[in-house]
Amino acid sequence: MIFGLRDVMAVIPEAIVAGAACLLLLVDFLIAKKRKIIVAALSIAAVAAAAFFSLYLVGTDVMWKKVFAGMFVVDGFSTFFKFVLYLATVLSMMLSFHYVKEEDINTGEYYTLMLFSLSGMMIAASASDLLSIYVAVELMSIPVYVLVGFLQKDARSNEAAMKYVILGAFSSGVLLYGISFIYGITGTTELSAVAGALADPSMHTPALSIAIIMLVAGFGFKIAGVPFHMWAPDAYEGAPTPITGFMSAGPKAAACAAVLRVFTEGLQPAYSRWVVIVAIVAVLSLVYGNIVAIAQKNIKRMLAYSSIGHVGYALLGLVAGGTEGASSVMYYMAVYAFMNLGAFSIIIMMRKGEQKGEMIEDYTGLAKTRGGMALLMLIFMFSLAGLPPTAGFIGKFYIFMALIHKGMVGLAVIAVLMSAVGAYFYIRIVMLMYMKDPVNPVETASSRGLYYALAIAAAGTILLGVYPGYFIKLAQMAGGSL
Amino acid sequence: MTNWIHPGAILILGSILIPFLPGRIKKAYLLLLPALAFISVLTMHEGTYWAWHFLGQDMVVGRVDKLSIVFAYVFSVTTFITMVYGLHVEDDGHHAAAFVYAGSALGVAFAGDFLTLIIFWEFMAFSSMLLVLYRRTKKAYAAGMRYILVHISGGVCLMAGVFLQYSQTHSLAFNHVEVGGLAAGLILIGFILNAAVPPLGAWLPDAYPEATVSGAVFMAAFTTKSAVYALIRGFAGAEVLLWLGVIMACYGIIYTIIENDIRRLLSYHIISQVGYMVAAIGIGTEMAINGAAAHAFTNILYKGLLFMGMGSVLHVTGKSKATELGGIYRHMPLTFIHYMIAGFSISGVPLFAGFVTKSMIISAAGEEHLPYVWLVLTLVSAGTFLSTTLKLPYATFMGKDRGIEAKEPPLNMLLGMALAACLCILIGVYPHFLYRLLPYAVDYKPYTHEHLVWAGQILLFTWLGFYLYMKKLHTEQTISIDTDWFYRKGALVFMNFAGEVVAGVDSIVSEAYNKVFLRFGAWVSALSFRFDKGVIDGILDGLGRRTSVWGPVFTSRNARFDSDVVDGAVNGVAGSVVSLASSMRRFQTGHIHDYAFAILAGLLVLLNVFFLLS
Repeated sequence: MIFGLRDVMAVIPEAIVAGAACLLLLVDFLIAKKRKIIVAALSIAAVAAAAFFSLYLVGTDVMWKKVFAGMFVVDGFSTFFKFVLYLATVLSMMLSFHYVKEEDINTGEYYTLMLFSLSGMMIAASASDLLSIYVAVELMSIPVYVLVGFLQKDARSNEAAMKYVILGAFSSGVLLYGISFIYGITGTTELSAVAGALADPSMHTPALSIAIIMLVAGFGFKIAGVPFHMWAPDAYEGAPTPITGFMSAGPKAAACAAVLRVFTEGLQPAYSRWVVIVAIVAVLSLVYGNIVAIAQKNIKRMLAYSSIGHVGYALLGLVAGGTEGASSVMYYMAVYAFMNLGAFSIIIMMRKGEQKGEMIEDYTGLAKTRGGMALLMLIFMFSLAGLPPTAGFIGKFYIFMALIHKGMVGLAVIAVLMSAVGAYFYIRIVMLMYMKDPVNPVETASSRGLYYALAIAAAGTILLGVYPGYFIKLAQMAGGSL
Repeated sequence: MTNWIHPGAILILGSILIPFLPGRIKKAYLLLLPALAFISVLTMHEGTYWAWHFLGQDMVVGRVDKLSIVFAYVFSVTTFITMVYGLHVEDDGHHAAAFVYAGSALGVAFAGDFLTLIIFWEFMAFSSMLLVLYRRTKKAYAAGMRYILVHISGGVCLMAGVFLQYSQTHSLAFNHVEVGGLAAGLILIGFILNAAVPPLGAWLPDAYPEATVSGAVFMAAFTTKSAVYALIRGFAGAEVLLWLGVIMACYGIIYTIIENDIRRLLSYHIISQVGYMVAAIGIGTEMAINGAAAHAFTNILYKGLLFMGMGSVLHVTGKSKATELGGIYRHMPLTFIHYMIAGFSISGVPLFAGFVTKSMIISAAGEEHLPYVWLVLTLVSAGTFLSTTLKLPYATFMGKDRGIEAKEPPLNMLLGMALAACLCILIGVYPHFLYRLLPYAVDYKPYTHEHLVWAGQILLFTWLGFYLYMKKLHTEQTISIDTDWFYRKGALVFMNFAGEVVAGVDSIVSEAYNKVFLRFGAWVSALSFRFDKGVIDGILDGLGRRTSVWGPVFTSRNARFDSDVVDGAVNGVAGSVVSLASSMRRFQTGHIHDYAFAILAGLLVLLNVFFLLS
């Protein structure tokens, strides 16, 4: 197969990220352990270069056309998601500066693995063929498996990585099995061709349902939707905290992108078949994630369950379908990246010396000792809970509107109820911080990277809350390309 | 006419030479005989051979048609496999008995008249008794004696039936027998006794566990399956068999749940599995008969393999109680794998032999609109999975490591198991290999989506059940009382009863009165007291407590109504959500297999939802 210039142009951002990752593996040898931050800085520069090229491609004729024989496409949808992914990766890297020194895992591979994962995520957002999606999702997951177990001396981290990798392999098998069914039914894995084949109602055999269920299960694992979520709490708790943030914002968003593309592009003709299944996973995730989060004592674990709940909201957007549904999911994933990484930067700030800062009770009375930090945490918690005027409110509201426009009022009601339940455990943290007196003296880390990350996250959380119009329009334009 | 050699004759006559051959040559000869028999089956054509006149009747030793070939095929294959498995046995008599036994089973399969049938029938009974006696233990001797007594009575019934039949029809030809009348009834009793249909089947779990290790494998293959053959030939479509078969399938499975002796448990499984075949014969459609023959075919293979696996455990450890075993899979992983292949086959896991044959019978029941039969057979298949494939291997191979010294059995035993395992998988993957042998043309596809989904669900939910109730299902030291109790202890009890009948009646009546009426009355009154105390008072208490919460609100009539009631309700809801949350948290066990299982269960739930909605 001969590739033209257009093919090569389309993948420049991915090539930059992957190439930089390879190069940095070598550069890493030349850099002393104390100065590994140089690797981080170069990684961030690589992401910035990729972002620049992504932006550059927007105006060119490379956009909107499938390249590499229909396996890859650069469109508004993928570009929007790529920016969310750049953001999540850069913020997570900035959060890591301090943390990796604290945990003594200050190595160059840490950042290069994140870059490799990012390249996989970017391809997942752009891939328009089931097989390239599968490969991209694997490329994105495998470095994360390693990163989860990066705290080599911590048994929790090793256990989490082990569980994640085994269950990940299991779910990949399920996903691939589903893909093979689709191929068996339609004779193709290219999404628009799949849609074309499925337009014929005689293709809607029971095998198609089995394929859909397999795909839901396989992707459901990647985005941690109930009942395929079991790995998430353990992995989130065990992983290094910046990686936990990274996983919940980056790979999850990329997998959401892949899910959106597969279901709203490839399987759109079978909408009536998959909508119930996806709705069930969405509702289960909402209910389970929000309720079980209440019982948690470890804040990372609590955020793991909360992220399961948030997947429920995102899937509801998919259920709503259409441009509005898709763009509501996109907007939500952007919002989620800001607010969730913001919350994680506070948690990382609490990690200092002997103090782990992972228990919820550690936050008692924080407002008295660290007023600014407590205020930022309050913003992030309010946003996660979905209270106005934060971005979380707009994100949820947009999804609910999409649902109501499609006449799915019942689902919207469940979602609203569950966000009320969810508010309980976010606001509990705020109550602890503001209403109680501090028990133990709190130490906090100070790192320039953390401050920048916090500032970006807080700004994003507020900006997307008070001035959503522009961003929603962006998401709508991008979502219209599906 | 002359180019047909009876494979049974090869085995029976060939066995005479065994004692005269030295070491290695003998072993080769032991494998040569069944191989020759198999070649003879492979090369034979349909027709009537070795017919002769006797007492003015046509006697046919060689009636060859598709039905007899299927059974001859599997009989000769399994003879070869089991011979490999039992090659290490240094007992010429044992080998000879096995060959006579297998040869007689082949004789039954080719018998065209009742006289030939009865002769081979009796040969089978005596030669198989020898396989029990060669265990050379006291218990085996007693079991062997009981075994032969039962079979002689069965044989007498059969013979009486045949003579009655002859006096009415003046023919000894072995063909379809019309049900009704004493003659057919007696013949049927003779057949179903050998098929181990309850209540006439207790000899099977009595004798098989006492047989020698490889003897039990032979016995699992021939006696019941040759009876299945005879039933297909004589009583296809007899409705009584349908119900007997269903009862039999359940009866066997119930005993397997409580049984502790590993080979007795498997013996009850034979009963249950033969129940499928008997039920299929009762249904009597072409598909059902095909199913019965096919199931007999695969059942011989995997049942033999199960007996080989447990026989190996017995051979190596000398123990046969599940409660005394455990944790030995580390020492004998190959045996464990082979056993599990057989277990998957018998449970009807897709891609293993049982799936493609058992589902035929179940589908035949479905097609004949017998929903209850269909349901029971489906449920029994879940029970089979539970006891043979989950419980027994768990107790024997996994479970608590009791530090038993174990190692893999000798190479020939492993080879025998491997052969059977290969066939189980081969038939599971290429069912047409078997289907083209069946008596009727097969228009049946085992691998459809519905079948796979259905089978997957049954297996997974059974697994879930096992997983949840593992502790409760653990094997216990038990003795299962079966109908053999009547001829073991029954006579003794009867004598005692008769001796003390006069004095006894009085005490029995008063005892019964005491137990039934007085105890029952006391129990009822205790129950109603408890109900009163617990439920009624509980409700009243609960109401009272609620009122005491709400009471002040209404009585004091102050402005706190709003704060108390509304906040109370809100807090109540919040409280229950919190407690719900902490109970749901327990799902997160931390065990990776639980998580993987949750994924599978989730898949299934979604599948169910889908099929319910569509």
